[in-house]
Parts: sequence; structure tokens; C-alpha cells
Amino acid sequence: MRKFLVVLDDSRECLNAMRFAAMRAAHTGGGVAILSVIAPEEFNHWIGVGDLMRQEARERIEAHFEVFAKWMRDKQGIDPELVIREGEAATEIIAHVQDDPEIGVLVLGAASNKKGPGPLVTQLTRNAGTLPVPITIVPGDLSKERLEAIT
Amino acid sequence: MQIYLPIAEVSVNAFLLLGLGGIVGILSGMFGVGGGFLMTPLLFFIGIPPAVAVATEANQIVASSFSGVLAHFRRKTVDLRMGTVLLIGGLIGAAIGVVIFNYLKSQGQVDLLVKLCYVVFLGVIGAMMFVESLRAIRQTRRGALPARKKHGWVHRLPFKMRFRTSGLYISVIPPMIVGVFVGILAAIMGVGGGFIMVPAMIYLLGMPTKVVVGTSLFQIIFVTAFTTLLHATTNFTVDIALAVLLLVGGVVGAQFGAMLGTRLRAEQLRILLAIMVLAVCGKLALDLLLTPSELYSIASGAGGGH
Repeated sequence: MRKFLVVLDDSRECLNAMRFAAMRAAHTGGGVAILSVIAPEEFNHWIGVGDLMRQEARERIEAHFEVFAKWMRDKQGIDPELVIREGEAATEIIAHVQDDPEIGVLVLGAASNKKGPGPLVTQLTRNAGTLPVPITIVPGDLSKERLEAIT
Repeated sequence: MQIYLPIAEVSVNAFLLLGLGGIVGILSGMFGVGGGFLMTPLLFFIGIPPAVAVATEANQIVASSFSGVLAHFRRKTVDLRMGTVLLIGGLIGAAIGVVIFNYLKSQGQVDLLVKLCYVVFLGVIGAMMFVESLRAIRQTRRGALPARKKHGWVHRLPFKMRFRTSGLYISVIPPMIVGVFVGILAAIMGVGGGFIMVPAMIYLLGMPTKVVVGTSLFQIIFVTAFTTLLHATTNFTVDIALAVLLLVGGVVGAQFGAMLGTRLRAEQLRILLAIMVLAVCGKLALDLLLTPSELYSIASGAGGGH
């Protein structure tokens, strides 16, 4: 099954990417994979502290994911899968696209403020030419109705 | 190139100091430790009087923590309210520490106190780190972690306060005590105290790990700045020349260390750090216990006369 890969983080623009991926997948009979990347934790000289940090990050992501997953199941009939990786966001996204052959499209949200589209879009578009899948960039300002109309 | 340090009253090689700053900078960048508790004993070894080493090192920590806390502010991972409570405790602790420091200095015992403190703390911390990393290497994947957020004695104390960023509603007494303790350490040992404060904040106060590092850095900056100020005005033991040389080395080293640290994430590295801490501790302990090669020494004016 062809899957849309969408990135979950704390940004506002990932919301629209999530919506777009779910709607698009529902309309075209695909699936959705949600990827969240835990940044390499501040190295702490106590391993116990580091482990706890990672565990808490995981719990936060799972709680966050459940919110979106519920919406997708109820409204779009899509059952998304959650993937958690650790490392630098851009590197891990590319690594996951390469690891999972079922992923057909990478969906990113672009921020609408003056500072540019956000770090992920900037980094990933730079090597967009060598990725194994196309990237779809969803403007963070698109309204829900507009999204529904174009998917 | 020998330079004379006006406050420490010793001549040392400027490149040696730059190199020391660089090495400790690399270590702190790699391991994320403040570096204070490695730098200060190294300064003892090259002949800087402990009183000067402590006061100057506190100075350097201010500078090296500053860029760290800025990054955390940007990510909104600083609990300002909790930081302020810790800070109030820290300032009280620093004042107490400086009073103790000055009293012992007038008795001529401050060098012994500082070194003894270092032997004890480096020994305990080094041993704990060593055991922890050994255990981690032996079994890479452990079972369930201990349950968190239990309602213990911390929740039964009065003067409760709401800490929104941390999602806590606890008494201000435990964070205050943690702050005081860290403040005393900062004043006597010239360390930021993050290696004690971070676990205390997580296990004792139950703060979420996300805000712990930023909040501790926030407290450390102000407490060490205050300590430096106190040492500078009451003891005159802050050596600017020394601090600048260490800083230059430290800043460059930290950049390299941070780069190395993102590449290597091996558990073995931590054992290395633990062994280093223990080695420094052992050398300090030997110096204290063995009969010195010069039985009598002339105490200098700034180093604390009898």
C-alpha cells in the first residue's frame, strides 16, 4: 500500500500537513505514516537521566499522535502508523524514506511567517533532487475547506 | 610564552592555559557537563592557588552557560518560576558559602577545604558514573524504569506554589533547599552544580525532563555570577587574565566537542569521563595525603596568610 509520510513535531504548520496527508490518503486509497524524531538529548552525565528524557519524549509524542490518529480514524477512515526515530530530524526523515519502500510521498508543512518555510522544508528541499520520493509542501495557512476542495 | 597572573601571583605558560581551556571545552561540549569540576582541579595541578582557581572558574561558567540558556529560551524549555525559586535559594547558598570560604581563608585553611570537597565530590560522582556506565554497557536494554510522579513527602510541605511550565503544584521548600545546596557548592568549589541539580530536579521535585536542563542553566548563570561578584569584592581572588585565557580556549574547544558529541554517542565514552574524574580525584587525594616535597611553604598575601 502506498503511504504518505508526514512529520509530527511541535510546529503549527505540521497540522495542515497532517490534514492534507489524511484527506489525500482517504481519497486515493493510501495509508498514512506519522514520523516523529526525538532530537539527540542533551548529553547528561547521568545515564538514568538521559533514559528518562528519552522515555518522556516518547510518551509526549504518543499522546500527541493519539490526538491526530483519533481524528483520522473517525473522520477519514485512515488508521495511521506511528514511527519514532532518534537523531537529527532531516537526516532521520531521509533515512526512514529509504528504509520503508511503501512510502510514496513525503508531506511537509510550510510555515506562513516571514522567517521562511521552516527548518525542515529548507533542509529537505535542498536535497529534494536526490530523494527517492516526491515532496508535497502544504502551506500552513490553507483553510480546511480549501484543503478539502483540492484533495 | 610565560605570563604573570597578577591575582594568582604565579607565572604560567599562556599556551598551557589555552590548551587546558580547550581540552576542558571539548569535554564539556562532548559530554554536556559544565566542565567546572574538571577545570578547577586541573588549575590546582598547574600551581594556581585553590582560592583563585575557584573564584575564577565560577566566572568562566557564567560565560559558558550563557549561550546554552539562550538556546533553551528559544525552545521555551526554561521554567522561569521554578528557576527563580531555585535562584533565590542559590543566592542564599552562595552567600553562606562565601562566608564559610572567607572565614576559613582567615584561618589559612581554605585550600584544604576546597581540595577536600573536591576529593569527596569527584570520588562520589566518578564512582557513580563508572558504575552506571558499566551497568549500561553490560545490559544495553533494561527493563521498566522506576515509576515517576509519586506523591511523596515533597507534596506534604506547606507554602505550595503552582509551576505551570513544569506542571507541578509543590511546596517551595524543596526547590529552595536544592538551590541553597547548589549555591554553597558554587561558592566553595567554583562549579555550576548542574550534575547535582539536574537529578535532584527530576527525582526529588518531579520536574519533566524537558525543562530541567534549561532551568538549571538559568539558575547556574545567576548564582555563579553572584558568586564571582562576592569573591571579587570580598576576597579579590578573581583573576581576569586567567579567566580570559581559559575562556578563549574553552569557547573554541566547546565547538569541537559539540561536533564530536553528535557523531559519537557511545556508552563507552561515558566510562572514559568517569575514569578521568576518578583519576583527577585520586591525584588530588594523593597530594593531600603524601608528605609534600617541600614541607614548609611561604603563604602569599592573596593566597591567605596565617
